[in-house]
Amino acid sequence: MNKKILITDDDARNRKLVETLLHANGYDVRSVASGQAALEAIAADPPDLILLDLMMPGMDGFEVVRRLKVDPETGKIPVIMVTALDDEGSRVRLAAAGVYEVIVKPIDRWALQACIGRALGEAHG
Amino acid sequence: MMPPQVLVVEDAAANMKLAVLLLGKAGYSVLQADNAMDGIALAREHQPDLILMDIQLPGMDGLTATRLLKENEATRHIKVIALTAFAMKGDEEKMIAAGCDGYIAKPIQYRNFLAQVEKILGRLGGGKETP
Repeated sequence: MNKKILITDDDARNRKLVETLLHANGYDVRSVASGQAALEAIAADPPDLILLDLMMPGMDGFEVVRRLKVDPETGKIPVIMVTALDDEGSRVRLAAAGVYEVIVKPIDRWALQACIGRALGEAHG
Repeated sequence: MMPPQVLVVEDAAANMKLAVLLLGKAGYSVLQADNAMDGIALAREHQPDLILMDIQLPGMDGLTATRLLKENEATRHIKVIALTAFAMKGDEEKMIAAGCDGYIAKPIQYRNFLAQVEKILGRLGGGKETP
């Protein structure tokens, strides 16, 4: 069965771009436009991996991760945070929150694919 | 078994925090120094399995510190991975010439960073199993 990936980004163009790329890679892709919608989608049907935009209006990516980690079930799902903001402070904060990896925009598709493969392959390759 | 010990020599507080956090979560024992002289002293005293050495340090730089560690009988065997923001071709040659066993480009990618550390410690037989 294809692995399920949930994309969360308030920017429709980014969503479409990543959706197309991951769909072509054979993943079962869904996408939502807000942190709140992501939490609802995850509760209804937990994905195998979550791609999360950090800066979103309303609930941001950091808050989504914080809420996911409270529940041991959703806390297990690897989260790849996508961000345009690349400062060491947020890298520390995100690592501490339990984010699997940080990917900086503009997204390098090979780096993204490798990162997703690693997160889903797990048991250490 | 004792967890492998890693010495991080890094002057930037946020980078240090991130390295310590990631290494700690992965189960390594971590030593910290924010300058080259303290780093060398800790390396002599504690004989860590690996040193992560920032190249751009105030005062003595990381490459000079690596050269000194590799010239000294007491610390020569300790693996050194350079942490660098500028991984250009010429820099790689300089790092190899100084005696670095590898390098990690900054900004630190969590998994890549841990994979590099595991790889070099795995080779030493002290790290966690690698596939």
